[in-house]
Amino acid sequence: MKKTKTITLLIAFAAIAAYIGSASCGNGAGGNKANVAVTDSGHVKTPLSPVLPFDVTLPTSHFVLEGNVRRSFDVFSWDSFIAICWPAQGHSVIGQFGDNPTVWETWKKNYEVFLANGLPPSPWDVTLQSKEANLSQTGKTPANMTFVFQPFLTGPLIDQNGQYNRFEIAMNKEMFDYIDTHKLYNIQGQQAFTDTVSFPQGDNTKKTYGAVMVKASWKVLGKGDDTSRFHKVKAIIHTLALPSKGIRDSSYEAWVGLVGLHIGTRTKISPQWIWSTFEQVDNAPDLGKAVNGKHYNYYNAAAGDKALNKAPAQPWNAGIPGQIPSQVARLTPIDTGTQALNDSIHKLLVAINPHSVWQYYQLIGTQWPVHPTQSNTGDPFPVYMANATLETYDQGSVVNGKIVYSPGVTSSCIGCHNASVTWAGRPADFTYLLKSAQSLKK
Amino acid sequence: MDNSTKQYDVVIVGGGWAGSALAYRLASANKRVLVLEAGIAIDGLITNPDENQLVTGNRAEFMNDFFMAMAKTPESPYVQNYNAPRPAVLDIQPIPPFTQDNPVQLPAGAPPPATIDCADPKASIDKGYFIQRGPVPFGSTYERRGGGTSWHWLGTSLRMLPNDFKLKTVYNQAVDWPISYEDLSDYYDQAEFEIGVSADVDEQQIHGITFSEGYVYPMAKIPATILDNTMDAGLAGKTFDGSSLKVTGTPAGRNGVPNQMKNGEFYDNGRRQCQGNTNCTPICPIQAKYDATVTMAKALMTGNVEIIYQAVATNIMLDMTTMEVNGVVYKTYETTGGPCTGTFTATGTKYIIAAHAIEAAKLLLMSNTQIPAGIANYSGQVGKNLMDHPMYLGWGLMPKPVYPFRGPLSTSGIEGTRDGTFRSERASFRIEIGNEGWNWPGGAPYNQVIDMVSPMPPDQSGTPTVGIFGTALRQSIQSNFTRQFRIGFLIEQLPDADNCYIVPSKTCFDNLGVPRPEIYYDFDVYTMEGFKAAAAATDFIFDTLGVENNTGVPVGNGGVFEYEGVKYYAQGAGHVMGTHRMGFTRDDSVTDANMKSWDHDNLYIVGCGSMPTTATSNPTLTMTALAFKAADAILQSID
Amino acid sequence: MTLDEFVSLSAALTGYPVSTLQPVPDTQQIAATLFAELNLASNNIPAAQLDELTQVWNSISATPPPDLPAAVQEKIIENLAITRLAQNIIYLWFFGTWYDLSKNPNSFTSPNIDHVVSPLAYTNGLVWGEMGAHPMGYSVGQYGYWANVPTLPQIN
Repeated sequence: MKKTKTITLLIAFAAIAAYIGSASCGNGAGGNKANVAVTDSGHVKTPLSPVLPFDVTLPTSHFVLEGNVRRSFDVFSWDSFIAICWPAQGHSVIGQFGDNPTVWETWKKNYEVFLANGLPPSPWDVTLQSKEANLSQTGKTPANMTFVFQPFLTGPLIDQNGQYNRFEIAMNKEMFDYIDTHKLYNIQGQQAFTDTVSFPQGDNTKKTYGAVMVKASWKVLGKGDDTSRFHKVKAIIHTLALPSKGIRDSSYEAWVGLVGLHIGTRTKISPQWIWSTFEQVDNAPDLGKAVNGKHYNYYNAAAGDKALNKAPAQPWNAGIPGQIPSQVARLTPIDTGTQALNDSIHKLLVAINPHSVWQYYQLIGTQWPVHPTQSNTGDPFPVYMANATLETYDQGSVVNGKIVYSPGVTSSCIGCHNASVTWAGRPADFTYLLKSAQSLKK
Repeated sequence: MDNSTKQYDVVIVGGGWAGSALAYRLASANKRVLVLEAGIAIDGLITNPDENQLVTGNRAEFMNDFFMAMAKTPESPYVQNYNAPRPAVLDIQPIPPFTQDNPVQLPAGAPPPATIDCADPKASIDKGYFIQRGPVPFGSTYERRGGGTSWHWLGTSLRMLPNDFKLKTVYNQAVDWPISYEDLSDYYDQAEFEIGVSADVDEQQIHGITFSEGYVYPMAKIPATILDNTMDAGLAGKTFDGSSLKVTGTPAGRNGVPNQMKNGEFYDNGRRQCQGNTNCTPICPIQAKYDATVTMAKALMTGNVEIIYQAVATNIMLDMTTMEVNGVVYKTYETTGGPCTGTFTATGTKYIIAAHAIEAAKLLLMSNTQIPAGIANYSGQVGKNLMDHPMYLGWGLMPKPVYPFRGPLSTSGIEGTRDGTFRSERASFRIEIGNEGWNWPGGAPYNQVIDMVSPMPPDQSGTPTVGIFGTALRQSIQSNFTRQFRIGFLIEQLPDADNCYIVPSKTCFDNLGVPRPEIYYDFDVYTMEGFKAAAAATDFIFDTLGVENNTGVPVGNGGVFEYEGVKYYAQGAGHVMGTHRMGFTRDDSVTDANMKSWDHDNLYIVGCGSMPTTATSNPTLTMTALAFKAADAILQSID
Repeated sequence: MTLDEFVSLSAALTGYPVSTLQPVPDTQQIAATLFAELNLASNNIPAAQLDELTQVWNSISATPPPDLPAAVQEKIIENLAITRLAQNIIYLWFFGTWYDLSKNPNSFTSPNIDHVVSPLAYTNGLVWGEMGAHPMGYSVGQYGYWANVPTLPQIN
């Protein structure tokens, strides 16, 4: 990862912030506003860092699960988010010019690793991949976006303009290398692999990186959207044919805005991975707390709450005109400590540039295994975790005005990913990616 | 909602197993299909956005209801719906005047007089939806909602045996099917692919079953449990009444490791692999087990299907000139306890009733405003020949731990007992091996822990009693419960038009005013001899394995009867068959071999009710094969 | 009764150490969830019974561990005034269920207030792991685990 000499590590900064935060709940690190100075050479000083953390930095004493322990994982999440959303090229800092192509968009997408004919993927080429990401952002070679369904066909997500959300998955070099080296990129390779799948773990002591995978949720920008509030790329939107409704295969170019980002990182402290999830701030209100007059990406007060968090009517095809927008509310509010950290990071982003798009992204939460050796899942905390744009329909249920969670069904990153397997039916180390592999055609 | 101005190619009554399979096949062939489902919608499976404003259900809610239920019965995840009510196992009781101490002696004479008070539909349904006339209570239940009974099926996907289709010819019992195993073989392939069945084809060629050249099941056999292997080792080479007691893996609609199929493709249905939640019945938390919503989703994705939920069919209308069906009248409701909100008529070119054996027959008989005997009933066989697989349970303690409550509810069985010359004299059976200890017969682990911690006082009162606790309790559980196991015998029934049938009640109605099913049910000597053999087989198997036999009075004791001085406790298997059977002629059957009504050229009646005899295999796979066969026939008749 | 007293009493009644019943850190919060049942008015727990159980427990809780089970047996289990309440605590932990105190738990006398405390109370029920299994309907096992012999939890 790139390093810039004038940058101090966010980790150290956040440790101070956490100390302050735990003593006076809610103040976060706000009292220590960083000074952002622009040097003569145009470099921007900020405590925010492009350096991806290897692993979480746990508190050294007096562990409070919902206090300083959660904070340390949330800090890890923000460190990761900032680092992977850092500009992919050049010497600017994150959001310095408002928006920027990101590091994670230079990573290989799942369809670039698991090819249609099962052949080996092309080697990791960071220069080439960066160039492509940059071109994507400027609209020259837009990214292909086809996937519309949330896991296990729970449903598509439809915005206020009747447009389907698009989903993308990408992985970092460490994850790619493991798949490539062990030939897990096709079905036959996975069947031949009899070891236990074990992706690299980030390690603070050895200073090595672990596997990182991201899942992004994009909305097509359109009427009613304030585009200055989104990280944007140009995309080719593919729609599949549906003959019964007279819909043909089609593609068109459009600007899409990032509305959700999952980050999964495997580390030594968390072999069941650390699961971080972010959303654009305008996605959905907390249940029952819609603000009058505010524009939400996936909520319209006038539509009422009877269809809340329910999948749209079938057939699910992005080409059908006039579809009813999804009505989404967040059932579990963001933890106040997490929100305080969000506020403090936002201040730092605004200090770089008041028009930074990145100030409009918030950490929903981080899930991690609290007792990794205790069981397959390692006793995850928080018990449930959902991103309103990626697990919209699995957040829990509202029964007589109360939120009800069902263990094993309501969204839990680790709970669900624990069931992931390879094509040989063996555990896939918490990723469903390996099931995208195709058969090597003779 | 009013669809009476729309014209469909096919109207299907029933959005459950058969209805979903048929909707999918027909929609994939570009036919415009309307499905009427009596029960609530399932999230993600609606075609009219307005349905999202009504009551809908989803797996998370069902799981929550299951977790919070004291009695974890097949119905426990699925709240009762008074406008589309369903039976419950907790309601199965001996029929008055018979009791536990004074059980019905079989063979019995006429059924006892009716004693049911159904003045208040909801209160009465809470005590049991069926109007049980007996003399034996009908022991099986079903669901009425999107996906139907598939929500709580076990997953067992066995093919019938060739002789099962020829019971009359080979054993001079009951009737033959108008089709052979060979007629259905290709459809079995298709059914196993649609469901996604895990099995090892080499193990499944039993009793004459053959597979197409190079056939591969979609997924590999589910690994056997420690119990399976223990029984397999202990029963090696043993026989009972001439039947091998070899233990075989049970094909199941449950995700295992994908196979490369005959066409070179690797099977992938996108769902998770089994994690051994040991909860197939009543509900799989992760949908590793197939349910009909999988197929209904595919049907809806074609864009050729519309589905109306909370639409209860009440009358099938005929054009009296052509004798073809020209409409299905249905009632709608907004809430599961609220009033009727409208009456509408659905029209199509072809009509399919796929409403589950009892509800389908009930609908046909209820539809008597034009023909007094009801629709499709020239033969008089509609509602008749009601059959189940009454089950005998045996349970005990293995000499060494077998570690129950792990893995799917059942992974293996003993299939050797399903066929043989004895079928001229007594019912055959299949032996299902249960991985859930004494849960079904004994309420394990709860009842046994309570027996140790708070033993029941002799007067059955709430007087406190002294029991064990702490380390002693833990040791007891570890040494004792780990040896629990049970077997279950699925016993064949023969069709008996005179004693086993359903009629729409003339006096008892649900909340919509729709008649409830009145059920007359009995066991004949053929089946009771099967029970007798099952008990003897249990003794032999347990003896051979060194099992401490704990078979006694099961928790579900409502199916008690006495035969030759011995008390038996029949359990329903959830397999409801026979009520609209196929046959050779219109004189003694309701449909032809394609499930087309003999009487009405554009009416098909599809489901386990189509089966003229029960065999001993769980009927669901066969129902799927029949549904695909019917779909082909319907498509041919349209084109 | 305080939460701490409830947990230490529960350890004595269930035979599980406090560190299992109230792990550190505690993600499931089962001890607090089950403890709340003792303060639920709808459970109809006579105050005198709860007080007596608390007092008796406090009077023996410092007993040296080898002698504690005998003390629990004599002072609590064989004390019919409070034995049902103590047994209910065992059921809370083993099943996640509260049984109506006025009837035997295996009786179906109706109406009654038997109820499952919560889905997490059920999925954390101890009886299942005791057998080397998991609650029916909730498994974190991986495919095929059922072919392998499990390790049963240690009994001290």
